[in-house]
Amino acid sequence: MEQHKRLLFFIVCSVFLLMLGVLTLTACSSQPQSGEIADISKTGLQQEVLTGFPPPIPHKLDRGDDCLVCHRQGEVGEAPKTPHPENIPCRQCHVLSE
Amino acid sequence: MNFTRRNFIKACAVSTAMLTAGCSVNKSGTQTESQKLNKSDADSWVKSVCRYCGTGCGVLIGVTNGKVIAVKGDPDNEVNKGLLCAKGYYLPQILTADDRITQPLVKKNGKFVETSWEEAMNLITEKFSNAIDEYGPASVGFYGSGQALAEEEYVANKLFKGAIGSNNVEGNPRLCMASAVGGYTTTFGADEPMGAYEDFEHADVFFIIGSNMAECHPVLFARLTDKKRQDPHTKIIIADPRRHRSHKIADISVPFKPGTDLALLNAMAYVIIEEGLTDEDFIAKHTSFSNGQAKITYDQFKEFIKDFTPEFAEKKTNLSVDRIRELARIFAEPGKNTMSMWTMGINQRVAGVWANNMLHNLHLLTGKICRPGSTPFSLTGQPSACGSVREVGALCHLLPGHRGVANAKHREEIAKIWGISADRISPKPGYHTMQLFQKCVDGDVKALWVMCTNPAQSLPNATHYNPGLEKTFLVVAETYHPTLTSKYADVVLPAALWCEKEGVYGNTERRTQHLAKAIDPPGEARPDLDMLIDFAHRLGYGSLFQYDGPEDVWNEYLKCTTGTDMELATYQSLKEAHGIQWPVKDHKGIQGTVRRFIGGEDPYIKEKGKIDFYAKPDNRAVIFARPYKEGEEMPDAEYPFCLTTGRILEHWHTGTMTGKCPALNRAVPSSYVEVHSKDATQLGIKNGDIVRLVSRRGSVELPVQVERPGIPQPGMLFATWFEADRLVNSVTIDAVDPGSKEPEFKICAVRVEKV
Repeated sequence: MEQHKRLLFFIVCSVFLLMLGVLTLTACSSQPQSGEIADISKTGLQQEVLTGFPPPIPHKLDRGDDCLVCHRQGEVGEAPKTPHPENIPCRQCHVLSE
Repeated sequence: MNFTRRNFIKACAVSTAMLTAGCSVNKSGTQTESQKLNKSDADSWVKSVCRYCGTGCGVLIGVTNGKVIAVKGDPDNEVNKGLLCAKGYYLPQILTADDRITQPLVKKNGKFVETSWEEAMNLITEKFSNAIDEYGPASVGFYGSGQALAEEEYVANKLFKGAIGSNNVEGNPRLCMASAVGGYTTTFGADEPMGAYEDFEHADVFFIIGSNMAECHPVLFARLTDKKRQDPHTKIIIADPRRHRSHKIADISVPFKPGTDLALLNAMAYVIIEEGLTDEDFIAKHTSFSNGQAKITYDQFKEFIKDFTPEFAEKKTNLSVDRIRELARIFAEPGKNTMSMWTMGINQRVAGVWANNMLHNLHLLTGKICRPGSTPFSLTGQPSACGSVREVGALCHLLPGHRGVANAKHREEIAKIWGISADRISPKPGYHTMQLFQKCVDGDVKALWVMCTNPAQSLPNATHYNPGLEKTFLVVAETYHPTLTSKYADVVLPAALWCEKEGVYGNTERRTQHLAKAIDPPGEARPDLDMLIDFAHRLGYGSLFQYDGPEDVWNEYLKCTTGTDMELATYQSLKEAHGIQWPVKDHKGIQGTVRRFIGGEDPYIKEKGKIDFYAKPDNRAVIFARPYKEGEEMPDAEYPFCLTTGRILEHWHTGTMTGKCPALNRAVPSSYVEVHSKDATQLGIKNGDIVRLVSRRGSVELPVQVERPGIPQPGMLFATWFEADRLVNSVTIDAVDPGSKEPEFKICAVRVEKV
């Protein structure tokens, strides 16, 4: 898929180019397939497990940028319902993870 | 899709909004029991402020066993009421990055070597002393930051201006909001917005120009969307050459041609006058008119504005006459409250101050100011550009408490508080930012201390200025190494970061907020305040710098605001409150002031409901007749595209912090250039292709994104600049606004080459 290729391309680019993010990139490239979030270095903590942490978006945005089309009521396909449909700028808190 | 939907659903089934307290978000099977943290699981929650943008969101920092384990929004802070953006939620990760430095580094034979504080500070003292002795105080300088604490900037300012005698004190706010300062000071006689975020709840019309709030001030944008949801009659106008995420809630989109917005703003004033939409009573009572050189009359202003017909603006902006008239009518509709907001699209321009004046003009002509929901409101990009630099006066022409070095009375007042004779402060402004770095290139600035910022990546025309950093004896006090700037350093000092120290920030809406210390800094890292005081003592100025911590410094700084129109709150009040908006008359209480220049709210005005622009000698705000001016370098045959630069939500500034967060990096791994689909077709490029942008100054290679996430208009390109290895600022122009000295990052001409 074109999007997938592009993502891979960015990751490959990053390995060569992100001089400041060696640790980060190691984490990124070691676990991208599982969708799991890398540990924070040294503390071993995973932020996403914390109370109230906004979960990252675990899929591509191949159906457009309007998350609420699927997530407002839920059950469109298998999309889970958002507990706060009143917050429309979803990507303010939820970052892409794939 | 690699991600399994089942896992996601399972995770989400137990997940709750970060806005809803008390439930647990729980990624299945990825953590042990001990990592499932509830609110009560942290040993303590420490009250602080987000490290990123100028919104100034209150945060609570969860600490367990001396480690930061979580950050959440402070529900008691009026700014964000518990909400944060992704950058805020991921803050704990910036503390533990592997490229943090924990010991001073000194460059020896071209290589950085770990050393002791003693050796590093001695070397710095020797180099600065030698430069001052041999070449005079103007041969040394300081370049600070709108991310530093107020106490840090205050001490640096005092050390250089009051002790050393060099007014070469600058900082990165010069690059982002100097034009807004110019606008407020020329129009109202006093810096900083008179309105507040609270005005969102009262406004009927929002005129947003040159600002992508959805990405640059996400929590404010959420507040705006909330307002729109609760009151669907709210009209949101977004004027921007590029369609971006903020347009999602726009009722009216105004895609003017880049660099032509001054025509639009003056044409709106034209329509307001021509169609009788002015508030004549307000104009008569509270305004005066000027052409920039001298006072003029209202009639002369009307004569001036006659040139700026909607037809004239149509030719310049590519907007229709009807659209321009419609905008003016909506802005000026009687009985409605209008709030305008802007950021770098207006400020980072060679006519930035004029554009600011023109925005103020619209509010003054219509009387839509100084009442709930009606105000011109510039948004600031950094957490304490206002609190630490504008208010502390840490720019080359300023002194603390909105004072100026050129003013003899101001010098005397400050000298008295500093315990020095007034003639020790030079009446001549130092080098402004672009001059300062040019003087490094020229070899005139021999030693420079850079604190909490990354100019090698953030200055325009970077490839021209960066060799100057190599030439100068450069001290970089930073948290991370290497950065593009610390690479050029002679000494790198390891700085404590954010919650590893305590102090005060001041946000966009005059809100002063205390940041408590939550954890110890790693290794030998120290707060910048300690370094600066240590440096002052080593230079022999110890008697002027007898401070026992940040509270002591605050208490002295507080005296600089006593009796001014920006009296601040006491340290104790700030520790208790969740932010206090100045002015705080006689430094008393924690109530603060939501709106300025209006009696009943502003404590300096006795009569309730009375509007009084008391910072002007005649108590009147100035409506300026400002001419039309385009960008310094508009596209031409050789360089046919207009490049503008900016942010994306997931990254911030030069990426030294957000670049540490795996999740943010994965979301947006690289800087990119957005291209319109027509241009992409014409250039034969597609998503993911690498193109070279070439300007008269330099070039940069970037991956292409066709119309995403934003859509630049044809002929326009938009690039992010957070990535160190794609130095977008090697292309941007270093032309500055003659008034504010702010560079024009938003407009330069480039051509596109396929790579």
